[in-house]
Amino acid sequence: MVKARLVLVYLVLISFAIVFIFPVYWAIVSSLKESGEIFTNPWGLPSKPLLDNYVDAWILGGFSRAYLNSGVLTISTVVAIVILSSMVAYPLSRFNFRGRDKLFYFLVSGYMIPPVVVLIPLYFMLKSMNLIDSLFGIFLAYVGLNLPIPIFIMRSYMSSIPREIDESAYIDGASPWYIFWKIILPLSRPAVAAVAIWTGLITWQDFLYALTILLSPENFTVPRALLNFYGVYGNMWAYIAAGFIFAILPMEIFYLVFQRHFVRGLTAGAIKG
Amino acid sequence: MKSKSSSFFIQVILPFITPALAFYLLFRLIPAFNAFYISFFSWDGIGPMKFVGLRNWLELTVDEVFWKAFRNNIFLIIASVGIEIPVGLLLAYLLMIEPSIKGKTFFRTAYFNPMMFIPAAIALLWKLIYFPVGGPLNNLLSYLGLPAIDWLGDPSINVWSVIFVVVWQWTGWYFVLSLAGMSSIPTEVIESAIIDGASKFRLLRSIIIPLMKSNLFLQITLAATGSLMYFDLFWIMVEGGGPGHSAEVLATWLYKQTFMWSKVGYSCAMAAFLTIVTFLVGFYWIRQVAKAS
Amino acid sequence: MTGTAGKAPLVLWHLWTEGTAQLDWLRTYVEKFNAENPRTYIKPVYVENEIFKRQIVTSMAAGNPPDIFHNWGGWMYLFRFAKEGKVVDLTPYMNEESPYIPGAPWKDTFLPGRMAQVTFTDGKIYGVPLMLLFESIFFNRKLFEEYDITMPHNDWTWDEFKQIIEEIKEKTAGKKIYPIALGNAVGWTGMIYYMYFVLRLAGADYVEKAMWDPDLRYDTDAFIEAGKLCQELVDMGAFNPGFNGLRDTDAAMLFANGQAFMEAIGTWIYGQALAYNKENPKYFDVVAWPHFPNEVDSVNLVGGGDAYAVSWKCKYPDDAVKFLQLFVSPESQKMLLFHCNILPGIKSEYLGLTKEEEEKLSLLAKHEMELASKATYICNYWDQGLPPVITEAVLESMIALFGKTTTPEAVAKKLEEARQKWLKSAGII
Repeated sequence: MVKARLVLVYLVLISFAIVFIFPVYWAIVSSLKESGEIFTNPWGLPSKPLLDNYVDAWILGGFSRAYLNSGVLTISTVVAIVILSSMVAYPLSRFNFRGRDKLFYFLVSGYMIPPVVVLIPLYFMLKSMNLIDSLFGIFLAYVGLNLPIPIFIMRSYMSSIPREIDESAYIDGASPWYIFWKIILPLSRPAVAAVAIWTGLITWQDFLYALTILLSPENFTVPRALLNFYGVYGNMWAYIAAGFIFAILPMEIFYLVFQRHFVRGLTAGAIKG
Repeated sequence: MKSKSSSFFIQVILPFITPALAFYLLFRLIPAFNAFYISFFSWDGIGPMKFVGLRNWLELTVDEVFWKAFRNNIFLIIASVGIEIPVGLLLAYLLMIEPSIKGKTFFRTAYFNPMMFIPAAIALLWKLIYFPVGGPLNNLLSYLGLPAIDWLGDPSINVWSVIFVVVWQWTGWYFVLSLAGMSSIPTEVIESAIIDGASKFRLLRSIIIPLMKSNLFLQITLAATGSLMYFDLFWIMVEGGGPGHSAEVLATWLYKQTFMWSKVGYSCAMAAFLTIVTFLVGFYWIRQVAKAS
Repeated sequence: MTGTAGKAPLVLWHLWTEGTAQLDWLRTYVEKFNAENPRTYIKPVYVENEIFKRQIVTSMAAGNPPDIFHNWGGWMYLFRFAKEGKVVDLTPYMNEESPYIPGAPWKDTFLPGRMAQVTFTDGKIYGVPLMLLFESIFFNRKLFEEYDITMPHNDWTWDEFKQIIEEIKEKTAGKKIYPIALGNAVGWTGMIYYMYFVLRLAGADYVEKAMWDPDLRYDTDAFIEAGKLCQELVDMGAFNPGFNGLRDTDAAMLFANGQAFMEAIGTWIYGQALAYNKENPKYFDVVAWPHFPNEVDSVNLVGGGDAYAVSWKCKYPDDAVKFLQLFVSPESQKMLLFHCNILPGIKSEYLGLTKEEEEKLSLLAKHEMELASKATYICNYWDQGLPPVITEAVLESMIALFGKTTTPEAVAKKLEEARQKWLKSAGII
């Protein structure tokens, strides 16, 4: 009886796994075929694997540039957000001042403002500052946009660090700034990882802001380049499939390496606390 | 630490708070308020703004595409809350409750995978999968002797075709959240329940779920608010919104008002409406956050 | 790219994708210009068609438009910018001779129908027509012969057209080949059908005047009938499945790969199809739109063509114009004709074809030129030539009409409402 149930459980788990993975299998298989073969033989293995598709797709899609842009943008956004959110979380978690809770509430509730709502006036604001079609402009937008949840995560974690640590350092003559940089922040490493992963994932994947703010191909991030790619090679479907693989590869690798941190990081805000 | 004087506040606390606060105000909050402000004007983004009072808001009530889009968002909410969360919960539960299962890491990776893909990439890939003439799905159908389906073009089903992909992508996220929620339940509780003879199903229903209440509430809130704001897949997979805007959502429709028809004021009225609804839905969670702090 | 060192770039936004003959054409002349020009060089930048439509508007507003930009004449992507002073007035250049065509002012060397599409109501010329494009029904000769289907011909009637569709359906039953390729996700491909039906049934004169004249209307019988005819085609199963969700590029792929017998599309299809299939486009041919017993107009065309204009941000407008003059010189227009199979925008008397060149013309090109020469009026595409409020209504209606989520009467009514809004905002009523 137990065995039958086990088989059932496996069946369920495997079926779902197939559903979630088959498109990837399919993308890999399709990317090696000639575009026409994708339609004549959609499910089978390629008759003659064409690795050239990858090379062509990479060059034609301008992925080198797109990756550079995405990489630089994501890293700078992550760094900025980690610093800013932890800076704000520090007094919010350790000092008592009037309006502290209101401020925290104020900052975090911003999460409920849909990004597309912010985008409309923000676009015109950036336009008047001449920051449309600039990576710096979109960087500013990303930082402003992505503060609420990181602040929540950092503050939650920092609250659990005992105040005695601060107090003894203070007695030893350390300034609040020093305490923050050299003591509290290093102790908050798990939260920092969580914030980094959260912000990194969101920034890397963003499409809406990239579509609106970035206009010239040399400024495109990977999501934006993919759309352009579709326009140009819309019917070179093998290239589209290859483009898909390019798009997911970095995150896949990143995930496989940092798996544990990923899961912990993304759920940090969800676990009560 | 105890309360300090106001000079302490200014010298010490303010510098920590100001940078983040500045970014937040400048690049998130003020634009949002601006949207509310602009909603009372008629503006094409280039010329002067013309005050029109409540006209944009009134136009919303008679705009059938707006209501259709809203309905589509509600469909998305139902699918998210009704499928993503339960399936995520189930899968997490199965992985947790059967210690003898091999390949846990594999399953975890498989389920979480789509969450890491760039939505733009997913949209294009699924466009290909849904391709009406010779695409893999319709190819399978014709192999089985069934007629081809116009997944993305048929107005009666195209919104569901997109919703399916959204669900496909996001279930892994709720799976992970459930995993995390479950892992914080002390094992003694579970073990004692099993010793007491509880069936696996009973365990889930009467013990695990109640203990995960706040986690589940968070999931529901995220799912609902996320569904209201959703843009990416609908924009890429069904350009033009589909015949009769059958696959339009609030975010895409509001986006088009500004960037295609230059009706910025009207766009902002829709944006303001969307914000209000999102806040109402997320209110409960925000209150939890306020209480916890 | 050679010839760019130390020179100022002139950014040019074009819509031609890799593998198209038009892109070859552009690159040939860009290289020529860059090699010979001391001060500046042209920098072509590809922008996807639908994205371009939004991007040109936002970049004009943001103050960083390209130096030279693609457009289709008409209001939507040329005159609305010209009205705000954002496009260089080319009239002074046009009144002079082009260095490549001596003997006449530059403006007189173009086909009058095309010139009209780049000249604004203030009498000034804001664009340089690059070519003549028009839309009609293209078909694949080889497929028709292979399946032994009655050939289309210029005098065919609507009934004959429908009969051919039925014939095709019969003889290709069970195969993945369809009578007509269509990809109407964005709406303008369905619009071609609608426009032609209206053109035939209401006449070119009416259509042209109705945009401005408060006494004429868009919700007449002709417009309603046009909607009915579109839906008749849908009900007949004339189109490939999934057309509501496909783009024009997808339809082109089907047509290029021999999966469709016909496509109602523009003369650019030859160049576009070559990117998907090198063989089939050789067999493409064109035919006039089917005729109706009660038609008012028999010869005119829906069309226009690409044009280039110079934005006010260009620091070297003289150089930009020099490039444009080169790009529409007879030699260049000949390459357009022979390499891309697209009709020139300049009059044939200035084209200077030799007898051998005339003989080299493909069958497709010959037939295209025949149709073009018969036309006395070219009706500019409604999604380019009309003001935004009407365009929006048109495109939306076309998607709904072919998707059968609306009725022909509702479409006509919607168009008329949009037209009324436009007339009001333009101060005409």
